[in-house]
Amino acid sequence: MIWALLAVFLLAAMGMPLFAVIAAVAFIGFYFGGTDLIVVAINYYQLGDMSGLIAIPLFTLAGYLLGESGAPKRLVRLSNALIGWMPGGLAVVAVVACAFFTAFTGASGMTIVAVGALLYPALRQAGYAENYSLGLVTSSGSLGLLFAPSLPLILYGFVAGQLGTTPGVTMKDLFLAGILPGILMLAILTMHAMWITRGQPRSTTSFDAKELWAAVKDTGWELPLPILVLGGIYSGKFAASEAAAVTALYILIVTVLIKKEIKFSKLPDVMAESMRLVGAILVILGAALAFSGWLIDQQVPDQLFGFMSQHVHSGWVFLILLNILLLVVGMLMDIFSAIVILTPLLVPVAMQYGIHPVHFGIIMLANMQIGYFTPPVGMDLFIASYRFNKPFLTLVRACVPFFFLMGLAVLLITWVPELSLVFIPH
Amino acid sequence: MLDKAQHYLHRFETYLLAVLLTALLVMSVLQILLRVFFDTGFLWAEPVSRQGVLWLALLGALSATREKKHIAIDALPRLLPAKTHQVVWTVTQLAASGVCAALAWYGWGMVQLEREAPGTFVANIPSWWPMCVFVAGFSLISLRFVFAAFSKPAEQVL
Repeated sequence: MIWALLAVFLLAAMGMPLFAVIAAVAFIGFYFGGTDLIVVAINYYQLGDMSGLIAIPLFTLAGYLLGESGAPKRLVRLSNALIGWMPGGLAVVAVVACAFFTAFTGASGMTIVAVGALLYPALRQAGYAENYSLGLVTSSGSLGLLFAPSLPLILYGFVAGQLGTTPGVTMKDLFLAGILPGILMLAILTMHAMWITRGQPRSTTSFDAKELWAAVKDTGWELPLPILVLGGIYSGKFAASEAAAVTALYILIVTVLIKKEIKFSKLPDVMAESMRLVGAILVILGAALAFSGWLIDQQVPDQLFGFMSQHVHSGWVFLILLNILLLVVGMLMDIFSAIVILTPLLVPVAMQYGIHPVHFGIIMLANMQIGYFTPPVGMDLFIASYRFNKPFLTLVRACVPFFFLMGLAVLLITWVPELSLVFIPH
Repeated sequence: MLDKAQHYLHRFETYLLAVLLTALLVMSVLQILLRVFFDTGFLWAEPVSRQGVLWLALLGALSATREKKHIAIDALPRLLPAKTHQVVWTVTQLAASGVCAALAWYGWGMVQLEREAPGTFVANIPSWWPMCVFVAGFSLISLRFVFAAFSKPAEQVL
């Protein structure tokens, strides 16, 4: 069994698609456990029987449509009119616009392409150093991951909800739990931006009420979105899947019929493109269902806890180890695969140490967010390098300060559970 | 001639994805309207929409295989010389094809099991019918990984 697994891991390191890797591990596990392998297909097929899973394709569609439309431009204009005049204002604009956009596009790298590409030249023009501008735009590409309705957040909800833990994990709880930790990240980056620009002459632009009003009118169609999504879900009027349907329909109507920024003839291509990402994520989720079926069958989480409890006696030490593990995993693996593999393995262990599964999810996402801009596989580094035409290593260096800033945020989120749990009855 | 057929096949795939997605969206919105305004809904809508998501996933994955957009850890092979990279690419794609073939094969076993003790999907449709889509989906994905294996490795992300 060890040899078979080693062969699969070697293939994984050589670039075999991860859904096939995870499915292969499930096949091997069940095979050596003496179980009929049909069980792998049966577990995988549960993918077609998950309530609310439709939220993933619909929110993804919404994000792709927004990305293809003029929304990023309008979003930057509005934030600029709103906060651009403050010290470090433009940097704050970058942070806020990226966070908003990533929440809707699920950190698929689109933030850098759509929003970062607008902000980087603006930052340079306003006199921010090249290194700072590159680092800010690249590391902000994954900012906003903790805000609803980001895809990784929803994916964690499905995988953790499937485990049937007590207390359970619901989409609504997760959406509430991400708010304060997400704001903490924004606040840290904002303070850093103000500190960077200290002593520099005041921002050249002053507050302009007319421009603000024009920007608000310009963004009029996009502004109700957060209210639609968050209000709908938090108030209990909509399930996450229903909010997804309403959001997708709304954006579809606005971008195609009202603003006419996406041509009707281009629509099938945008839809197909977004569904390729959905397909790639959902086949990983299906494989993970089979994989976690095997984990539970073999009581791997129990054994893992048995082993851990001999060496790790306190929840705090476990959390530090968790941070380090997630950092390493985040460096090597994409967030979607990491979520589906690690959640069934680690949530039962974490709960034995008294960690709330919702808090665990927020720690995991916040931690993995750093992985987007750490070498060797940080996706946003590649995208930024490609988009801004800068060497990979330049971007790695530019991101170093942000690595420590976000690291600080992750530590706070990890060690102060109240940040995540304050809005949740527990 | 063959190129043209392939072109139309790919267009067909794109439209199929778009139509399926649109149908699911319309169905979801319709269900919400029925629930909010008339406090009712179609009983068949929920199981059909769950199945629809599975079809979307399989079709999307099939399309992602063609476009080489599957999520993979591909930082290491990129550092290899071009020829070695090609060999590694071919091997990993063939391995993925094998895994998908196994999924299709055992999926077929699942269909057989279900036929022995059939349940119902919706209305008069037996539950093993939609399962066949799982088998067909992974058979096609497996086939497409073979084609991918003998073409150039995936470009950089984006």
